Amino acid sequence: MAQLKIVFTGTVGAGKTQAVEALSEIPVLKTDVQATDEVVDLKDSTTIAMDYGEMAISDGETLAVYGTPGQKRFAYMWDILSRNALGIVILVNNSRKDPIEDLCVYVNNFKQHIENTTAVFGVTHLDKAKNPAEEMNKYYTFFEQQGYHYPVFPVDARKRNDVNVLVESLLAMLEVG
Amino acid sequence: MVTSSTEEISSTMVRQPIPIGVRIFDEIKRKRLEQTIRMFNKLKGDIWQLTPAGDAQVVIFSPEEAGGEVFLKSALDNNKIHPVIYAKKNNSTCPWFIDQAGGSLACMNTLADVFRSINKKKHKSTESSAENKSNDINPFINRIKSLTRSQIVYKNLLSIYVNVDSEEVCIEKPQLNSIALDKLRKVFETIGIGNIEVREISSSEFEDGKAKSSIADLSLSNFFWEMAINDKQASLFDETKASKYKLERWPNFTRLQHKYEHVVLAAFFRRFAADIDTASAKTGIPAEVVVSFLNATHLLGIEVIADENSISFTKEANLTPKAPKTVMQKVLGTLFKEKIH
Repeated sequence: MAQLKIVFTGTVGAGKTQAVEALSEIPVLKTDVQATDEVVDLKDSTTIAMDYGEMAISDGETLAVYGTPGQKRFAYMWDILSRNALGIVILVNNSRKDPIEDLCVYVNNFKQHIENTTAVFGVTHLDKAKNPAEEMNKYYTFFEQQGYHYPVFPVDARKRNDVNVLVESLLAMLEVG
Repeated sequence: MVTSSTEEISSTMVRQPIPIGVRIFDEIKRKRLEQTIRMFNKLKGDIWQLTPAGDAQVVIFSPEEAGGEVFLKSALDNNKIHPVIYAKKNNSTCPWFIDQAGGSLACMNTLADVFRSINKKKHKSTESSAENKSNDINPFINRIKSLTRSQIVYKNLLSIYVNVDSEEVCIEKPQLNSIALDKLRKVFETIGIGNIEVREISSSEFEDGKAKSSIADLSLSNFFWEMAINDKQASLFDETKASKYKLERWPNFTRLQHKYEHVVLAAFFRRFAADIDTASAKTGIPAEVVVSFLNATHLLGIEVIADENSISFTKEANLTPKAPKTVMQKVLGTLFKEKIH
């Protein structure tokens, strides 16, 4: 039987590791290394292979929670980690230069997985925006233009409640089909 | 001190409803306006009676549509009809204007103004007794009381302290400005609690009130949402039960109180257009929950009546889940034990 899993992906510094940590019941297995490239301006370390966490769901069964590396040069891991996932959670770091373009990169790369399963989107770092509501409108408009019915929420990836909502929405999307 | 009173509205709630017509040829816009009028009636009592435009005392129309300009001129000349412009801009001398981009709230604000204007003329000679006024307490106040116990504080757009027992709303002084205050009073009038006094208080008074509050840091949208989502009795959709609805966007569940069934309904209505009974049958969620969900999304302005381009969900079709239900239940059971009912 295939492992039950969900995958958190998205841009560098979007909060994927924090989201996995928020859900996981075990200490998260990380593959962080010291940042040496352009990431160094954002954070001290970066994920190069994956983050791995687990949740016990029943009778010894577990739900695996994976976080992918954010940088495109590690994109080969994206497909490996996403195989047979229940769905994809895409986090977008709104404080980056062009977060909508970032979003498109991930939608295109995970297109096949999203079509086979589903996706939800979380927008992070909105606290740095002058007008968070206006910032969110950019995403709502973009989704409307693209005809996406996927959920997109403003989230703080450090908050269990916000991450729960992402997973909850993912399940609801799977239920509706 | 700034006070707000709906004395005029209260005193006429026992009178005959005012005939109102929507002379808009765009079917979606017309249905939306009619729905908002019905919602207005639900919230404030049967103030308006929807009639054909030819029989109406108040007519909502668009000058951009055929014959609109001619209609406006004749209405302004004959002085018997109250014309209300529904457009992006008001370039005329017509005093009543609904901003197309303003959603249900803008429409209800204008309708409240129109009503007060008509009412003023009607009631120069008639004063309602204090007894009548006390009989006209809007049920919305009672709903708020039952939902929020005695006090609520909510923050975001404005910092407000509401004491529903004394019917007072307080706003944190540093954030107060006259435009915001006027807007706030209109919102409260629109949802039927306009007899609440709005007054300025100091930050320390506000903090004091907040400390005593059972609910804190709620935005106005949260406030509207919670009113509607917890109210299983009100239905804004009685007369349009056959209409198909869809969501323009997802409610922000990271900030709005919800159960998993509301998330499923959001997923359903975001993807498909469906009537209330079909949505209930296909999701297995009781019809009254579907109605309260649609009420809440309607107040947030994110629900729309479906058009011919929407993907409709027919009674014959079935949902095709992308994962076994047992798997989803297991995950939910772990994540949201306290939320599943």
